[in-house]
Formats: sequence, C-alpha cells, structure tokens
Amino acid sequence: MKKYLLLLLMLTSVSSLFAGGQKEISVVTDNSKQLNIYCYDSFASEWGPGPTLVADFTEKTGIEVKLIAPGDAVTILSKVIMEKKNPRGDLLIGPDNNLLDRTLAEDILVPYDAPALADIPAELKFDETNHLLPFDWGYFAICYDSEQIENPPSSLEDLTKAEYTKSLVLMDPRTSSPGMGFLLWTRAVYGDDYLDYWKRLKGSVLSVTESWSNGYGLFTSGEAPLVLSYSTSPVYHKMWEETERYKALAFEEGNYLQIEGVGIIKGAANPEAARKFLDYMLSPEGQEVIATSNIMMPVNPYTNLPEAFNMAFISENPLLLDKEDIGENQMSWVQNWVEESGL
Amino acid sequence: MKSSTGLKRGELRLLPVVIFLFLTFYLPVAILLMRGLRADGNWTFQWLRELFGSGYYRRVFLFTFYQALLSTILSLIAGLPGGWLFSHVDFPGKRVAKALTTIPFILPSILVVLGFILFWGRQGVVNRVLAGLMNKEAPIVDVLYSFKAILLAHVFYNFPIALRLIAAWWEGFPENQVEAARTLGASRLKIFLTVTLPQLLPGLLSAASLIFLYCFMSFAVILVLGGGPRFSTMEVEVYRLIKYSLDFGRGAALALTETVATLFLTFFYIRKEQKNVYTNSVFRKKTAWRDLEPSQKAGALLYIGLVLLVILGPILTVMVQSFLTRPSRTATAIWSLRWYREMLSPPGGVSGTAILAEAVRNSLGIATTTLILTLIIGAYTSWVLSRHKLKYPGLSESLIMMPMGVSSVVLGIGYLWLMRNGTFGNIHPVFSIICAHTVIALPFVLRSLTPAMRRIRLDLLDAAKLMGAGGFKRFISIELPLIRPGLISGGAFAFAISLGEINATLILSDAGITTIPIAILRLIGTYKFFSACALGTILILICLLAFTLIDAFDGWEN
Repeated sequence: MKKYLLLLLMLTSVSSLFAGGQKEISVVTDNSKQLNIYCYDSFASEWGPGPTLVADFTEKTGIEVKLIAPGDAVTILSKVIMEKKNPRGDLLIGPDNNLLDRTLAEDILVPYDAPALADIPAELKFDETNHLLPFDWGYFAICYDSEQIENPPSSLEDLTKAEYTKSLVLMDPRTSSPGMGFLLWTRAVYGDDYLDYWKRLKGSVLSVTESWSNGYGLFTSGEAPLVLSYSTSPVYHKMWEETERYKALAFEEGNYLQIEGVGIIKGAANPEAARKFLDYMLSPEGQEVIATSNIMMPVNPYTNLPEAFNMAFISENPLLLDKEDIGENQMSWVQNWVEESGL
Repeated sequence: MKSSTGLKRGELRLLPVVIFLFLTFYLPVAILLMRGLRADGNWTFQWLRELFGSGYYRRVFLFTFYQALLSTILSLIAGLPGGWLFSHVDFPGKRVAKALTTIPFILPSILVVLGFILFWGRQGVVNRVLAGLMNKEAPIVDVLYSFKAILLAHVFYNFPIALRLIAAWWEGFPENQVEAARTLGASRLKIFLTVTLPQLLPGLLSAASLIFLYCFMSFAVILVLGGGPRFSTMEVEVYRLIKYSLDFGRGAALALTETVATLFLTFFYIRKEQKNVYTNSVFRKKTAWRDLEPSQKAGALLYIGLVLLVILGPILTVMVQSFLTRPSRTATAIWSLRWYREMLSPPGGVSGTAILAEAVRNSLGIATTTLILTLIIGAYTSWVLSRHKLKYPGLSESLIMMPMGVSSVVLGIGYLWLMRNGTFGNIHPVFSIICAHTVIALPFVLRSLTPAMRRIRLDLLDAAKLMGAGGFKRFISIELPLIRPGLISGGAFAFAISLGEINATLILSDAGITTIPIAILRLIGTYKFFSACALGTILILICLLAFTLIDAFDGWEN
C-alpha cells in the first residue's frame, strides 16, 4: 500500500505547487481598473509586439494592461460579438479589411478620430467611419526560394505553367487569412471567371494547408519552392537569419492588400485608456515595435525602420475589393471554391 | 452462479459521476448543439434539412466513415503483433519500448505534421536516403498531401492504442485453452482462428471502437496532411463553420448529426461488449526472449524495426533538427544549441526563461491534476458499473462514455458559451481547462479500467467478505491491485492527453495560460520552426520521464 500513498503524496505536492502558482495570476485578473485588450494570439505572444508595447505603455502612463488572446483574429471577433451585451474588453486588435464589413455590421465598436490619422496615407484608411483604424499593412504575395528556383513567376498566370507543377503551397480560405486573401486576389483579378483560373492553377499546387504556419513550414523545410505569404516575409529572414534566400514577388496583375485594424469596443469600461493605447500604437515609437515584431509595414510614415525592410516590395498596383461586395458574397465565393476548384 | 456479495442497485452511487458529467460535459455541449435546432427563437429542422439536402455534405459524411474504417483496420493490423509481443514476451528494453509507443499520443498535431514533413516529405529523410542509395533525383516515395498521408498519420497515431489495449486484454486470460488445443494437435493458424481470436475479440472491438471514433473525429491530420479540401470530414466542417464562418446554426446542426452517429456507435459497441465478460483473472507468465524460436525472434525484430522507423523516424527528425544549424547559407549543418538559446531569449526583451518555465509548470500542473481526477473518477465509475445492478446498464455506460464522441473544439466552444452566462462566468480558465481535459481523458481511463474490473472473479470478493473484509477493504486489497495494469495505462493516457491537448486549451486559455503546445504553436506562428522543434523535444523528454516514472512504480512489486 505504501507506494500508492507515496505516489498520491507526490502527486498532491506537485499539484499544490502548481496551485500556489495560480494564485498570483488571479490577483492580476481581479484588477478592475486595468485596460483589457482583445488581440490575436501571435500579437500577444512572447515573440509578438504585445508584451513590449504593454511594458512601454504602462511605464509611460501607469495604466495596467491585460492582453486577452483566445485565438486568431476571427476567434477574437466572434468572442467580442458573443459578449456584445456585456463587454469585458476595451480595445479590439486584429480585424483586417476582409473582416471589416462583418465587424461594422455587428455594431461592436465606437468611432475614434485619432490625432495620428492625419499622418496616415489616405489609401490605408480603410474604414471612413473610423470605427476600425489601420495599424499595420502588407500585401499578400507569393514568396520563392531562390536556391530552388532561378526563374520565378511574375504573374498569377505564370503560376499555372507546367514548370511549377506541384511547386506551390496555398492556404484554405476558410481557415486562414492569407488563404482568404488569395481567393479575393483571384476574384479581384479574374472576376466571375476566378474558378476557371483555379482549375488552371490546380496542377501547380502541392498542398492547401489549414494555416499559414503549416504552409510556411512546408516552404522553409524545402518541400515546395513557392508559397503564399506576405510581401514582408523576406524581412524576417533578413533581420533574424541574415539571409536573402527567400524573396517576395510583386505580380504584374497587382497584389492584394491586407490592412489590420484596431477599434474601441462599444460599452468599454475604460474607453479613455483605450484611446491612449490606440494613440500609442499609432505613434512612430509604437509603430516601430509593431512593424519589427509583427513583420508588417507601419501605417505611420514617420516610423524608423531597420534596413531589412527594404526586402519588402511596394506594389504599383495594390488590389482591394469593395467591402460591401465582400460582406455580401464572401460565403458563396468560398463555397463555390470548395465545390468546384477540385483541390 | 448466485453471488452472496449481491449486486446492489447502483443508480444512486452513479449520481456523483452523473452530476459531474452533466456540468462539465452535457450542459455545455447541449447548449451548443441546441443551436442546430433553433432559428430566430423557434425550434426548427431548417438547418438539418439543408445539410441533408446538400450533395457536398453527403460526400463529407461518406468520406468520414470511409477513412475512419480504413484507418481502424490498418491500425489494428499494425498493433496486433505488438499486442502479442508485449503480453507474451519479456524482452530487453521492453519498458522503454512501451514508453515509446505513447509518444505519438502526446505530440501536438502541429509538431507531428512538422515531423512527418521532415521525415516523409519530398525533401525528407526517407527520400534523401533512398535517392542516395538508388542514385536518383527527385522524390522517390511520394506519400504526403494525399489520402495515403491521412492513413499513414492515423496509423502513426492509433496503432499504439491498439497495441496497448490488445496487450492489456491479452495479458488477462489464461493459456490453458490454447494449450489444450495444442495438445489436441491443432495447427497454429487454427488455434489462432478458433481460440485466440474469439478470446481477443472483445479486446479488439474495444480498441477498434476507440480508434474508429478517434479517426472519425480526426482533425489536424485531415486538415494538414491530406493536401486539400477534397478530403474533408464532418469534424473539420464543424470547426470551419463554427470557428471561421461564425455559422452557428449550420455548424451546430452538423455537430448534432456527428454526435448522434457517435452516440449510436458507442452504444452499439458497449452492448456487444457486455455479452463478453471474462471472469478469469490469471496473470500471464511471460516467455523470456532467449526462449523464443528463431522464426519468432526474426519476426519480432522485423516488427520492432518497422515500429521504430514509423514512430521514431518523424520524432527523431524533429529532435535532431532542433540541434542543427547552418552557420551560413552554403555551409553544411553543424550541431548547435542556437534554437534553444533563441527560445530562452526572444527578441522582444521579455524573459524567455520565465515563459518557458511557466509553460512547463502549467502543462505539468494541469496534466497531473487531470491524471488524479480521471483516476479517482474512473476507478469509482468502473467499480459502480461492474459491481452494481443498473436498470439500463448499456444506456448508463454509453452516457458516461459519450465524451469520447464529442470533439475538443465543440467542447471548448460549449464551455465558452456556458461561461458567458453569468453563473459560471468567473471560473478561472485553469479550472475550465482541467475540467475539459478530464472530460476528454475519462473515456480512455474507463476503457482501460472497466474490462479489468469486470474480469475480477466475484467469488474472490465473496471469500474476502466471508473472512470479514468490508467493502472498502475489499476494494483496496483485492480490486485495486488487480486493476493496477489498467490504472497505469489509463493514467498514462490521461497524462499524455492532457499534455498534448491544444484545441480546447487554446479556446479557453485567453492567453493567460501558456502550456507547452500553445508555446509551440506560437513559435511556429512567428517563423521560429527550429525553436518549435526544440520545445517539442523538451515536451517529448518530459513525457518519456513521466512514463518511465509511472512504469517504475509498476515495477516495484516484482
């Protein structure tokens, strides 16, 4: 019998150690004066911009901040929608231009005419009602591995060529925002004939992955020389790995824009602090933190950027679909893609 | 045989379990599934009619069954020789081998996928080795991104379950029937078909039902390794509808259909199993490795070799990769701790060591608590189910086993909805995560415990009673030691499931709680694939350590 008692003793001591650790956490969550920010998980992660932004902000203003990140941008949005009647957050970070219509339709944000908006280029202000303010941006782009491909494609149409058979990794538009971005990209270029393009493209596709991270993992482990990602992806490899092996391609038809937004939640307990944090995010200082850890372009043109950002191209032909068009037709575009693309 | 221990009515004794499951499982799931029958505040079949009217969803339904059936058959075939080996033979390194078979279970799917790609991929280890041997270019084995990849990954995940459950079952019945058949001159094949297989059938069915359900609800494997949306299952569609399209009506209706199917399967299986209760409790004497015939030795070695290749290949590749780095783009890879260092000091300036320590502490704490809770609830439940008379035994057991028919995604979303409604709103995420893990792991623990409990001979308990041992004493001194193999394998599963669980954890953690799989996910999400390999290596080592510890406790008595 002794060994059972010993085992039990060991287990309980381990769990009490752990219970002791949990108390500290609940003390922090009880603070009602703090600013509660909903953001997607990679924003809040140790390696994302969240922790540094929060530390600097708290040091400047004395306002305590809690980052709440139960998933990706869509998950956060659905959480805020679920809590509409009894909001627990003050600030929502994450909905991009493709989620704009859904976000506005749910009436979960209040407008804020931030002073910094004066500096931000007009084409990035994607919500003229100022419910959702831009904080970073980039293009969806096809990236290639220069050690595997010598003649990279220069257009969407090039991608369908036989020389790229089983060479391209894409993402599912239902589960990943680059995947949705690419679907809208083909929609923006080919209009109602977009499915014909997908049928031509099919032979070049090695895999359609669930998430960007799975797909990009395939690419960096050498499985495929072409991947759907962002115009800014090479910046990361330059900054942290000092390699220019991976490059992003500006396409002749243009590249589809992604603008990520932030907004103040309707019924927020702490709107004043939320406005302050939003101002800080849009300041050159905050923008530098966001750009270098999110690896996206800053919206504020006065931001200091490391040289590595030269690796990201600027498209001469940025593409963007009308937000009402997206809101109305997105579902049926995706469903038709699922049933007819054959992927 | 009339037992003097008697079979008391068990409904009342089952009540605590029922209340626990009602709060942690039925209520949250029901709240979610009900949405599938409601639109604009009224009850309706609108969503269900739409689903069944759609050719797309009918295809999804058929494919779900088809791939689960095929995966189950393959996993059983792959696990059967191992089940024999582990229950009949003592061989050097057996304990380590047993610990190894649990590894696939604890790995977060995202890491398994990475391992599969590095090992089986077009540029993976297998292809490079083969290309070197055959002096050829290009991929030689092209398994990934296809239906084959789904089956391969399902076998990787599930044949260890088959192996363990079959071994546990096989250990429990006597050799004498086989010996009798042998004395009568029956051939080996005939003995296997007429004696062993019928004896094994309940164990096989037990394993098959688990694996079928597991593959039926398989998620990341289908999503990632299949290579495209044409291989879609109900589970994946539920997830997409609820999580991404925010289409709760259709998503809940599909989840409802899926749940009805799994409830039916679970109930059907348990009814079958209850007809096949063994009352023998003989612990098999094992043959020593040196006493095996040469042909048996060769077969065993071949099998062990294949298992090592399939299980260890992807895992070792992840581990080796975590220690490799290229100093410059053209140089060959060298051994280095770079990725571990980067994990410990992320560029953001926040102390990585603290985060890593917290992730490890959280994962261990949650997994240990889950282990204790599931073993206590599991042992109690299997005792009530095996020693009491219930009016509807099949139904009761099915209701208790139901959590295995519901996905962690649905469970997590159900919890969120429940906690949104005031009463449960202030529950700390840690407790909801522990509850979710316990609910998810409990069926696995019961699967290991109940057959063992049922095999205990009632006359043994009667004898103890005659000698004056009370119920509690009988439980401690007879039943507990006899179900110990079940406790150990069930406990190991519970611990492993909790360590590797990520879907419900991610939904419930609100970023306030970082576990090891969540940290791995974040590393991958921020381009740090090699650091992810490094943290994955740490997770694998923790698990091996835990399993060795658990097994060491098992060994004390012998």
